[in-house]
Amino acid sequence: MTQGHFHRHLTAALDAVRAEVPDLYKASTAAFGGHVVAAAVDDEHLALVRAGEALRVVAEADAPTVFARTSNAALCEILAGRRTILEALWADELELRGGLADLLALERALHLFVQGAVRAPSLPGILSSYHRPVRVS
Amino acid sequence: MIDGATEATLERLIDRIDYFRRSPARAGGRGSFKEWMHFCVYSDSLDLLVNFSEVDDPRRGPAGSVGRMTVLARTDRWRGGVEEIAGEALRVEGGKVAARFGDSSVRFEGGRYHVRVALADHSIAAELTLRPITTPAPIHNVSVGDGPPIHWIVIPRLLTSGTVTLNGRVHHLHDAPAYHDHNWGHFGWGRDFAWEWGFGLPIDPNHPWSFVFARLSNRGRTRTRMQTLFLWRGAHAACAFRDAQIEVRHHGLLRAARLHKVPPVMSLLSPGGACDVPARMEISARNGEDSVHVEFTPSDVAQVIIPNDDDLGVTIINEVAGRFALDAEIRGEPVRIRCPSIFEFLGD
Repeated sequence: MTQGHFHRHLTAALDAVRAEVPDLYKASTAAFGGHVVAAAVDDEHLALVRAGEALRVVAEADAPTVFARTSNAALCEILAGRRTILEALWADELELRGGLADLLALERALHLFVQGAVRAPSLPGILSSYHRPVRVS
Repeated sequence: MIDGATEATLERLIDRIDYFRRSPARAGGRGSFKEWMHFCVYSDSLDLLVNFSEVDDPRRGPAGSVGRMTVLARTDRWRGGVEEIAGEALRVEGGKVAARFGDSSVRFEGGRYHVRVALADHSIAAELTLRPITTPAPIHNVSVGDGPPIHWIVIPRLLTSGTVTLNGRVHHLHDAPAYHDHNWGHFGWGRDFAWEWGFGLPIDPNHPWSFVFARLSNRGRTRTRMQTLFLWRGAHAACAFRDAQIEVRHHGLLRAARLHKVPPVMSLLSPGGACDVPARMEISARNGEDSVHVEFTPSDVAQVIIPNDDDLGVTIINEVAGRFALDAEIRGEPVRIRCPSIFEFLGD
């Protein structure tokens, strides 16, 4: 099955942080713990799971602990600094569902991953590629 | 304005002291080296800030480095961003001002700085020639706390001609005032230091006076490590005030309507609209009969946000456009400057 735009870029970003900023990748993976995140980004459906010491993007997973729904355009607005995550939630451009403790744990994992991503030499290229085909009004 | 002999002297002097040092790590020496050349230009229609920076980057190998080019332009608001350039696209020649950052470049040749800017997203481009009209001031061995000192060369006043293209609109500059400095040293972002500096350059090129101020402190800005204030008259430095001769006061906090954050993705680590910039800043200095009083009133902020080298915090460099007013008396001569300016405040 062909991977979608979001799936490909999230996988590339995870691989880059794992290879280039391993300490923060490990910290992020540890914070992620045993969670399973199911996500719908436009019409792509995927899941983020932990497999051993790695985070993997897979096509689907049973029993997600957190569900996220958004669009590539909304993610581009957040990554471009034009929207905060909170503003996207209020504007219904991002939906997050899960227990509070699970959401907080994932917020911590995401923060550590972003810390790694902004230090990874490959990330500007991946980010630029992610932005390219997405139309933002 | 300066005569031909002074211009030739300036060219020789700048050739001798303002050149890319480059990292000793390239020859097996100490790492954590950072170096940048910074240019600020302002005119009736826009402000422009261009910074060519090369920093050691151990993730790219033991002698690896990366170029970061910051380009910010302001008309009604700040625009622009930061580009990373590495590998073959980055060429910096040690011993001279000659560097290529992708399609952008800087060089000093024939007594002029030649700056070419071409952001990859095509939002900002510039072709500029900057002619120094004041002597450079080298300031060596400035303490930044727990590491080795940093070094600074400032050329407070240049005249800029050329074009800046911003979102397709071409701005023509003719003898627009500009400021240039060059910094280098071994330090990590996030260490126990903060700085603030600014300049004041009259719009009229025949106005003889130019002003520069800089202060380095601990991160919390509770302890000043060094502060200095210079005035040039014509091409030459006229007077300097240092440390206890200078008093700096911040009034209030700027409530910026918007903050332009670059690189944009750093907004995820530094969200929100708060910024550690005063609503108004006063600088007073006295040495015998000479006295200076400056007021800087910020209006618009762009934040260059850098991940710290040794912890998960960020360092924020606030590039602040505002109004500058100076009243002074130097050797019995009254001095008055009113102009736009860009001050910089670095902190958390």
